[in-house]
Amino acid sequence: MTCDEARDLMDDYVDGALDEAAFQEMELHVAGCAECRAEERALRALLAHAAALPREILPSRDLWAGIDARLDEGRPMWRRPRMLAGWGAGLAAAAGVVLALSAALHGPARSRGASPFTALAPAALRSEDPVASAEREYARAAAELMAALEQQRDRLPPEALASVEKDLRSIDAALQDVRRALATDPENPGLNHLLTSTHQRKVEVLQHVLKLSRT
Amino acid sequence: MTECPAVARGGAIPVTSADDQRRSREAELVRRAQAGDRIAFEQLYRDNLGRVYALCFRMAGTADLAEELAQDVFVRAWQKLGSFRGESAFSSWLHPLTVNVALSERRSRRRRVARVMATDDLTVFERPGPPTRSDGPESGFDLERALATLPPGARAVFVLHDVQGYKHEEIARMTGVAAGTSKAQLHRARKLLREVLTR
Repeated sequence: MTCDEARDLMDDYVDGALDEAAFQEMELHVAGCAECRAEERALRALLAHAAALPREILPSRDLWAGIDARLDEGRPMWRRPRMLAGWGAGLAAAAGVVLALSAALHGPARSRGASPFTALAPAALRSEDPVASAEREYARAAAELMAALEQQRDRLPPEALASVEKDLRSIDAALQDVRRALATDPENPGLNHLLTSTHQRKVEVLQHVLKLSRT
Repeated sequence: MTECPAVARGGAIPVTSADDQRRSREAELVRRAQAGDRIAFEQLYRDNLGRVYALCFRMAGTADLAEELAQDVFVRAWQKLGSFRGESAFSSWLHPLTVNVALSERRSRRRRVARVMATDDLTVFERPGPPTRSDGPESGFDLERALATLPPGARAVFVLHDVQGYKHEEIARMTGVAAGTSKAQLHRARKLLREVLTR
């Protein structure tokens, strides 16, 4: 076997893809040829490094907000809520509050550049405890929506109401869990983000059911 | 990975082993996500982002494109979640989906724009700054950087074969090229990588 022939077979050799006869021939050649032996070692070293690359790498920013924003547009029809008209001014205001709160909770370190919502955040959010302030603002937004929902209650089918109440209980329980976890790890960015998204989910559920009640 | 405290609620998960617990927890998250629970899906995202992004980053070659691809993967996963029957781990189900998204993007981009990196010209591998040898000439860091500058076809095959462990026949099925072409691309990738890493 010549060196050129050996190098043609080198990939299959290190991959264990040669038949027995070709493998034995390669073994003999590599044992007696310093250049091809060096070639083999370099290739095996490269493959060892490739196999040892980390299985996980995290991006420099959290991608969830971008994904979350696209879930409805790509949502299967069986899971998609009916598209309804008639956003109330109060609901739009609540949504604005939620956006501002999200920006305030995430903070500038989690986004590229200054958040466009930071300037819109209520003064309370710029206080020393943004999480507590955000919680109050979310609670206020949810209370407004709940009050609006109460007025529309009799216009909703009982099964829809039961389903919403179940969802809200589940979300409230999740909020309690996140708050408990945050009490022991208040700086955890994932938990802070989870708190925001859970609040947002609650507001979304309320907004959705209100829209349903107004059709 | 950030643990979602809501996941552990209820305490109905039987304690057998850490692996069984992980599977039970994941199955519960999938069940909830399939019912439209975004919080559960967010936790699945957080549990799997590292693997998905690593594969996207190596296939794409740039962080910006990798972020786009990773987002596409999870949006696609949400759309197709109804088809997940739980026969395998969620991460195993997500893996071929990630490969498909990365390869689809590469195919569509190849149709849209001329390849500017499809070259064996080694000047493209010039280091942007002074070489750092503290990690050794073939450190993972250097290999990641060298990978990013490979021609896209060779990079994809190297990542799938030498990093992910797919066989040429499987790569051929996924990429739509012949197994021989896959082998040729792998040979090219290995040759280019060794040249740049030993310079």
